[in-house]
Amino acid sequence: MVSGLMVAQAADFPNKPITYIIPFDPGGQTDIEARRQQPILEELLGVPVIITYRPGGGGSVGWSELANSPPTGYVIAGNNIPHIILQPLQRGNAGYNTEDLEPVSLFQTTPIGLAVLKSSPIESFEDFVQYAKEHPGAITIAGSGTYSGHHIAYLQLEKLAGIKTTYIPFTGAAPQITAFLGGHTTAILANSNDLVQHQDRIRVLAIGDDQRFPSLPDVPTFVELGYDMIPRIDRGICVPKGTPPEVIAILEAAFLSIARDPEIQSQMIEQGFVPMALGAQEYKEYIALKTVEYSELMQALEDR
Amino acid sequence: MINSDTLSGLLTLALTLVAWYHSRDFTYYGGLFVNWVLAVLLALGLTSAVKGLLPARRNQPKEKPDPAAYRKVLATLLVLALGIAAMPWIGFVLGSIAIYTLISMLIAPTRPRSPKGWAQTLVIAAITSGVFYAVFRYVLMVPLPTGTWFG
Amino acid sequence: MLFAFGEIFAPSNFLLLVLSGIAGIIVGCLPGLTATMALALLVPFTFTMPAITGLIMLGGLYVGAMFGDAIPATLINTPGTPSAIATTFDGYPLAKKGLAQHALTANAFSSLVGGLIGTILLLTLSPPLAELGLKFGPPEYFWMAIFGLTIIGTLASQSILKGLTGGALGLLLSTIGISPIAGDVRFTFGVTNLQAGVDLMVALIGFFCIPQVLEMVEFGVKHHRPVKYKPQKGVALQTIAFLLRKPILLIRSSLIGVLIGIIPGAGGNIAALVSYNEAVRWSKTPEEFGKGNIEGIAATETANCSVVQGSLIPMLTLGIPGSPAAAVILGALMLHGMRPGAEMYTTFGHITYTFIFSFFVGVIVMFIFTAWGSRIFARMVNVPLQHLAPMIAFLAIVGSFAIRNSLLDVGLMLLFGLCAYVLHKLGFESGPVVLGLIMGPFAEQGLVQSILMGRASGSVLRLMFSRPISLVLIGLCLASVIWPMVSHWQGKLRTGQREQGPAAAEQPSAAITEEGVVMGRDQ
Repeated sequence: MVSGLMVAQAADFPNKPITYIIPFDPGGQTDIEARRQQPILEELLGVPVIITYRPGGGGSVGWSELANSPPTGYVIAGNNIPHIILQPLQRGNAGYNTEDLEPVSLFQTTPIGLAVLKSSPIESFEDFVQYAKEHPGAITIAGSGTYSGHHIAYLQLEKLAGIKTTYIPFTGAAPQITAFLGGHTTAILANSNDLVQHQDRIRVLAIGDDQRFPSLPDVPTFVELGYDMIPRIDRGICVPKGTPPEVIAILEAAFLSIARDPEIQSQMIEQGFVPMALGAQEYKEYIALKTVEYSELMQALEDR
Repeated sequence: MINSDTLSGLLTLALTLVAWYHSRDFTYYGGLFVNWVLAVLLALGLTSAVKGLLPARRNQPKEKPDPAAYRKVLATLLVLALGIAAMPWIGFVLGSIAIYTLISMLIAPTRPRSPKGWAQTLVIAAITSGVFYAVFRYVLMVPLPTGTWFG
Repeated sequence: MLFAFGEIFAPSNFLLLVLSGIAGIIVGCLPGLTATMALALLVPFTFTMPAITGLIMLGGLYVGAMFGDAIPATLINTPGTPSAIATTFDGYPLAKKGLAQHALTANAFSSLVGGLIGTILLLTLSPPLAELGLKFGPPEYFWMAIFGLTIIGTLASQSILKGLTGGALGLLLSTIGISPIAGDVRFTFGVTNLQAGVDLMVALIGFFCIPQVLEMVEFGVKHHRPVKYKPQKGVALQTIAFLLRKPILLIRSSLIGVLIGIIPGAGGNIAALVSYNEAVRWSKTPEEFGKGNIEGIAATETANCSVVQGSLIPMLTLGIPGSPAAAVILGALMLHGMRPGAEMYTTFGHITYTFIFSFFVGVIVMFIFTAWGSRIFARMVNVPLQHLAPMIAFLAIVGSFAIRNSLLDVGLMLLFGLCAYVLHKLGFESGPVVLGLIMGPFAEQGLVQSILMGRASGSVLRLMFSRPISLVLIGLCLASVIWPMVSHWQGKLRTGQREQGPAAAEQPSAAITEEGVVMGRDQ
């Protein structure tokens, strides 16, 4: 199209403020990460970074706005796996397609873990599976969202362990944790940071990561226990499709250097997150991989 | 005679039907609550419509509707609707000045409306609009529409 | 403790408290700007400050907003934030009678009391209250929503039938968007932004602002003549003395505010409405409400201010925010390296206690500002109609845009306004619809989640009807339903049909009711 103009713009990118869309409410995890990055970004890129909130639809409102934004690099957004894959798959019209969001960098992953209250009679993951087999459908698991990372984890769990439980979706991390801590559900599939936050009151049975989670060293991973699943929520940055590669490279470099900053990394670990540093190409391949995996899972679900 | 009960009852029923039509494809849990609410609306709508037809209370002092007044209301609505619809093109400042001025003139107590009155209102509208635009855009970071005519 | 006060009154901290409080009042004053948004804007500025200063600033802003939102509610019948919805019921009629300063002073004082009592509870009873908040599970949320809906009985003074229909309409409106349980996309007609559902503030501005403007146009200067406000001496003291003679009202409302604050998800709007309902119920003159009764304002404003502290209780003790604004403050806490929980009161004790104490100072400062400023604010009522009406329209447009930076919202707001106008002509009131809109998500989620839980445990009915808190809530629902019926019959027996002479002249919008009476609250 106007590629000559684009190249010229890319040459002195950035020279205007950048809008950073958060597709969720303020105070949430994506917001906290953005706030962490904001000062460093402004320093590295030399322009103001304005954070705007576009909550709604589990993120779809924000992502569809990004997809329709001009691909100049001046509008970026935080994105989440599996959300951006599952939403277009499951909803007839989510307002955007997964391919419309061009990946820039993946900077964090949050393993999902299964937990019960310390007062629960279930002592280990094997106990859990045993109980579930004896009482199909009786165990209630609190999760956040439908067709979200937690929901997928629940589906994978049922399939791989051959059990039947009841998934109870809540509209966010706070409601699900409240319900779980109050004893209204038997178990919870929660993000690692929430598990770390409340570790005094809960017993984590398993965690979804390829190796043991540093903040919870006594918790076995699902893989260790023999279940081939690594449920987690990944957070990254994306721009609209069609943004010039040179612009993406500049953004990628900035975000990667933040992701590799030891101070930032230690903050993340302390709060219960796992820092990552994937560049644009790797991120893209990761998304492609996950898309295949989730499509199969969704297909299996429909065939049920 | 159509009175407010019958009218509101019928409108409720119409709305219920439209909503029910659009909800046919919902999943079980997605539609559960909606169906309950629609059922309640159906019952209430029927009750209201029937109640309005009962002979019980017909001696109501009705205020005479003033057609001139309703014309003004309609005009206000049109001004608002067109002003808002036009904002992507003419921008917030122009749009709101237009809306402000026109509504103000609709209410103004003096007839005929003097050019001085128009000018005064226009100025107030312009100042208010400009101030709000500046404050919102630069202090609160809320980008009110600039309008494509202004780039 | 001395240390805490020393910190608070340290010149820079105190100055920032006052400034952010004033900013909060301004934010609260403008419909469309919410405390949450303003807090989110402020958080980056706190990075470079020590934690205490940052928190004091955020606390000041939050409190200021709760004081400020009553001002537009009283003066132009538009709640500045959803927490002030119930304040319009009695605040606006008072302003129309020329008693705006009374109303504003009452707002300020009630908020002060609410804030003080709330802070005391935050200071002393946080852990047990937080645990109580946890006991609210899906069935409790459902019954709480039903209880909230029974408030329609109090609000729909003209026709219960129309009130219920309005409430059901509100419930239906609340289902627009993504279904919380099943993930269906409902009633969006292909418009992506509707996936987020109807924003409460947009609906509020539409329902309360626009019909006003249209009615002003309809009746023009001749009919719509509110009593002019003339400044009087001693109004403030008079009002405060009146309120001090009603300690039970104030204490009860504060408690309601705190209790609802600790329930994650339930915020100021619900607290104010429930408090209003209870005030009407316990009053010896329930018919006086809705026509400009100071008790009504006292109930709502006290509750909406104590919700602030209530929502901070689970946030500080458990890390679970009791409201969206608390969530933003939580984010700021975490960015400063603090973790909610026992640590807050031990390792970070000095910061936490200073933060809590800053509320004492904050509410007093805010009270002084708003009470003193009430004389100035009240003059707004005197602005000539031809400027007032377009100003309100103007505010409505700006406000509804500011919420999500979306012109679609402005269009929606206008649509709601038109519908509200038509509904008013048909005899409906806005209150029940708004109530339905607020309670809808709680009712739906509570219901469906309970059904899922019930299926797992064997019996849905047993789950919904057997838990202690649920039973208390069910009892409240029944009381709330039976009471208006009883008092309605009592009222009819006592006085027969009431002709509202002076009120009819002041309320030109002639809603045609089945009793042929023009009731005071229709506006």
